[in-house]
Amino acid sequence: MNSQRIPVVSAPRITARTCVLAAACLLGSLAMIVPDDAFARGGRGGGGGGRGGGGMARSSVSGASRGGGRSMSSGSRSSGSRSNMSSGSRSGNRADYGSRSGAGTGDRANAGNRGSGDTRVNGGDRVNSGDRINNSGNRINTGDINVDRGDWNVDVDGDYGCCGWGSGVGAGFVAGAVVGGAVAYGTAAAITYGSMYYALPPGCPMVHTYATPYYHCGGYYYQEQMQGDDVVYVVVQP
Amino acid sequence: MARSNTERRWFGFLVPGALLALAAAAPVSAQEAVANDASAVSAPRTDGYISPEAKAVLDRMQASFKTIRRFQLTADITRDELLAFGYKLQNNESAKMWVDAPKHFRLEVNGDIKNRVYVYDGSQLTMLAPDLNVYATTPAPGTLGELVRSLLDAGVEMPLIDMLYEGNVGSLTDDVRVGVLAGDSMVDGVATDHLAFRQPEVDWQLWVEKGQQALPRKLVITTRYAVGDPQYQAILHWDLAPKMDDKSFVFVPPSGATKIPYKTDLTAGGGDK
Repeated sequence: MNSQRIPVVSAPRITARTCVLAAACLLGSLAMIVPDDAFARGGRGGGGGGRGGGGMARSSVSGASRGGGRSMSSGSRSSGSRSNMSSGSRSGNRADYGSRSGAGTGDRANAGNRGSGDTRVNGGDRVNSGDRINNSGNRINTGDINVDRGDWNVDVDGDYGCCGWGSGVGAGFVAGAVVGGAVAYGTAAAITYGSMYYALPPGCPMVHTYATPYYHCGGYYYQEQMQGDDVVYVVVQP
Repeated sequence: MARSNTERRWFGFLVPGALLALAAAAPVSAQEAVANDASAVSAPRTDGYISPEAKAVLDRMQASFKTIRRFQLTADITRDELLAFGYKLQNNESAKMWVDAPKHFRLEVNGDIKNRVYVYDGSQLTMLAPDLNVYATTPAPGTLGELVRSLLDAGVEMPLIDMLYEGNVGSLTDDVRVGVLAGDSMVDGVATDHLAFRQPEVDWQLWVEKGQQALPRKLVITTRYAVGDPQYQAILHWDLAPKMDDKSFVFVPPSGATKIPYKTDLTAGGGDK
């Protein structure tokens, strides 16, 4: 007897919880100046659990060992980016998530967008937990949220759209797909071929031209791919 | 089973002392890491301290891991998530894994953050994202151990990967700087030894069943250097006589599922194509 079946889960919970939290947060924002979408789970961006969110607890001892505990010489994986992700470099940008549902690849590597420009392209930061601490500092600074709102909007930061389990982002990703400023969808200069996003821009329809799905909007074609164990959208040539 | 005062005192004494030692050792190892990058990757660290009591438990556990090749493992998982303004949200997840080492495993994850199905048949790994109804299949290394290594290299920290790591790849304690036995504890009505570890990125705790079948019953990982110290917790339930056959490890796409390209190369030690 084959007792295993594949659960086709539409995860209504995510939606429900997201709604509740988003509503709660709307109320909260009146009093606390909290970003509206701060509570929203990343999954709703269409990543199907592409996740999103703040500092996520790491979930693997072996991953932490391999990723962060040792100095990694291989370029295949950047613990820096992973650590950054898991330590919440994403959180600052959640506010963007809803409005833009975009995740700029280049940005993901560089939590520094939010903090200081010098940490930006920091694929090599794996050993450098200083970055992370910096991020934390920024995150604590909720007082700045309002002031920095503009920053946040500019910071389409891939970090928060990414990787539920600190997964999926290797150095190759960082090195190979640098979206300069990754300013925003619709800002043509920011989007280059090969860029990866963890969610599509809003209202991006599927184009059934090929066997694998493509999405077309804003003059760009996005191909749905899987990286690590995350679904990503890669800008491809038409 | 309450812990005795002696145990508490011992633990309270040892941990601060050990942490001081760690603080002193950390800068040195950081320099070493910078100095000889290449060797740091391959050479296991030997500068950690694991108390003899904890070591004894670990030895029992490792012996138990070696004996299990076919098992089913279910886990009730929670993950803390720190939101931008300091709110700690807890996400639930349940994971169910079937393993027939060294060629097969299947993992089904249902959670607040993401849902996934992973199927490995000894030559290919398929991952399904049920919410989007898309899946990707990729060539994979020939054994579970190599696969786990590749996945970790690619940054994939799927749930329960630690339980595949131990016994198939290496020891979870490879990077541990300090490990002590905190005392006895009950998990799900089972008597366990409670171990506490500290290593550079994370603190973690393991509850290992007492007796011959010394398998972990609970795992807690605390992410350090992150605001709010988010934690990951997994309560583990083992079934060492599971019902499964070859079909358990055959991926059958759900109706309407779309196959999408897989971007990460798992066979060449990770990285992107």
